[in-house]
Amino acid sequence: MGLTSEHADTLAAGKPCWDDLVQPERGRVHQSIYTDPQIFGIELRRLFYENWFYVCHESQIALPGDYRTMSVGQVPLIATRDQDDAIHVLVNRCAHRGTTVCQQRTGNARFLKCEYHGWVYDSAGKLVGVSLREGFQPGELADVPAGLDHLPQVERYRGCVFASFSAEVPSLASYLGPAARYLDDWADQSPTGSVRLRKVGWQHRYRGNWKLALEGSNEAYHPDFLHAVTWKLQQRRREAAGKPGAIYRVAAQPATGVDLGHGHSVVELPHIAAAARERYPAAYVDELTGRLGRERSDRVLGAPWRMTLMPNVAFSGENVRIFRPITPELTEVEQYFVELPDVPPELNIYRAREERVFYGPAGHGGPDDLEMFERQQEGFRTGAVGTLNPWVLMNRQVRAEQVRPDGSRTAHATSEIMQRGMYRGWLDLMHGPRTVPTGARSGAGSEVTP
Amino acid sequence: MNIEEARAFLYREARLLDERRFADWLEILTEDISYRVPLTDYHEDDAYSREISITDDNRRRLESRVWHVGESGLNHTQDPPARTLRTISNVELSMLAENEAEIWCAVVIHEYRANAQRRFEPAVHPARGRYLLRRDEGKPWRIAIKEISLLARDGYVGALTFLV
Repeated sequence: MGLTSEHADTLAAGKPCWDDLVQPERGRVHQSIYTDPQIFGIELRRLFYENWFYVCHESQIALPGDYRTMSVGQVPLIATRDQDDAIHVLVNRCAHRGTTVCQQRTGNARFLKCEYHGWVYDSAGKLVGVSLREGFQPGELADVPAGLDHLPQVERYRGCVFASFSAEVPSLASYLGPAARYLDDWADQSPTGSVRLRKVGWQHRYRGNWKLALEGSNEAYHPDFLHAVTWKLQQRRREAAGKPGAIYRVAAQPATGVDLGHGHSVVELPHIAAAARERYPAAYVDELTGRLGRERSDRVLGAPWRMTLMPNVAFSGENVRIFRPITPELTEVEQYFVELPDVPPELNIYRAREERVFYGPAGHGGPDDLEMFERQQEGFRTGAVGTLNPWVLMNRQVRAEQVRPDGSRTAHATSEIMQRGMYRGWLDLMHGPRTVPTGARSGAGSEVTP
Repeated sequence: MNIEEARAFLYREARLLDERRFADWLEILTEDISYRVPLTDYHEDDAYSREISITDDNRRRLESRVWHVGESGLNHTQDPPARTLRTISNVELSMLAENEAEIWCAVVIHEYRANAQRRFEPAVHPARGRYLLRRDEGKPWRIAIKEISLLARDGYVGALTFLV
């Protein structure tokens, strides 16, 4: 299902039809990009395997010998910290017969041993033991690689480990671009300048395309509607306490969506910092404000934004979510809680509770998001009939985008600029390097309205 | 309390939830109810390790949850509401004091949503249950701690947007 025969023929002829399918300047995409197996395969190659992606946080492999396993796209990986404290991202595949060598989600070991024939690797991935070695004949071991495949590019930024299968990919700094500033704010929530992630998190799964979660993670048009229960619960609590008051709604806030380039985007929600200033322990708020100054502290308190990085990660002040495409219509999401070291213990308790009550598998927010992704995928089945409307719209305020001095584009948080930004990046990556700049830029100034 | 009474108590609690009689269910919980669905093992005395869980409700949060699940009309994952069937077995009873009982059991929750577009197969949630029951002299037994430890707790557990 999905592609029109015309598009399928174009693709089969090796001529991408991406600009027909994905039209960010018109704020719409063709639903076949969520269903078509051929496009899915090309996405994995272009957006995941030839790009940078998020692996894990260094605090999750804090000690020598620590490891954790994950999959990126279809590929099983192991992130390790070796005995010399260096971090490696290895492919979980024995050089001998292809068996995965590491079965646990997280652990600590000096050596990784393939249980099939007993070959042994150290935590840097080097092959240090071939069983029955003495019986191999001269020359037979020449074809044996030095160890597990390792990813040629592994870099860290503010504790986040990123990697690439490609040795030619441009630097991590150019991949992150203006997104780096938000990771600075994220890490500086901690008095030590680095946050901690727990080793075990929530595992979500939905029957829908991976891009739906990436689109949904920083989309601020939906919360006033899909998550209305949040403010209704708040209202009930206030009424019970005899303190009715104003109810927060995104559309009424001076909140801003930003296209950060490279398919990354962020929605800035300053009310989060304002609420944190009231609700977080005073000792923490004072320390942070003293350390960073009032102006910057307003950008750091609670990390008042939601950011997604193409292809596989979303950040908020309190969580990291990692997206894993399984098939065009099945996706897994892992979600980890962000803990702050050296703060009053009640702060982490408060943040964990907020997180759990909204995003947890039994929360009143996160499960509804996943539900909507499944309903979208249901709707996309209409692609089976070629005469039905195939377009998915994300055009709110496409004509009201403005350009900041650093070149990033903005519009109100309830616009769908974050999603258009994601698809501008998608187009660039799917096309590969090209010389013509994409999209027309218009407008100027910084005022945005809902 | 004897083992037969413990079983009867659990069966009735299961039926109240299966029949969505949430107001009646709240009646058999103590004011200081702790309702927990853990993610990993935790230490009873370590408040933070308990926060990192799937659910850890006190009475106030649990009443909000009951409103959300039962009345709000805004529980989108439960549209239409799931039908559930709980089976309880392997019941063990330990009397901690005259008015305090601990019960361990195995619970299997079968969940079915009659969503017209998706026609879900029933979901199955196997779990270990631990209950702490208390009563005031001469009053009925009530639940002070209900902990449901899902078999898949640190894996994929699905949307637990009904009352586990």
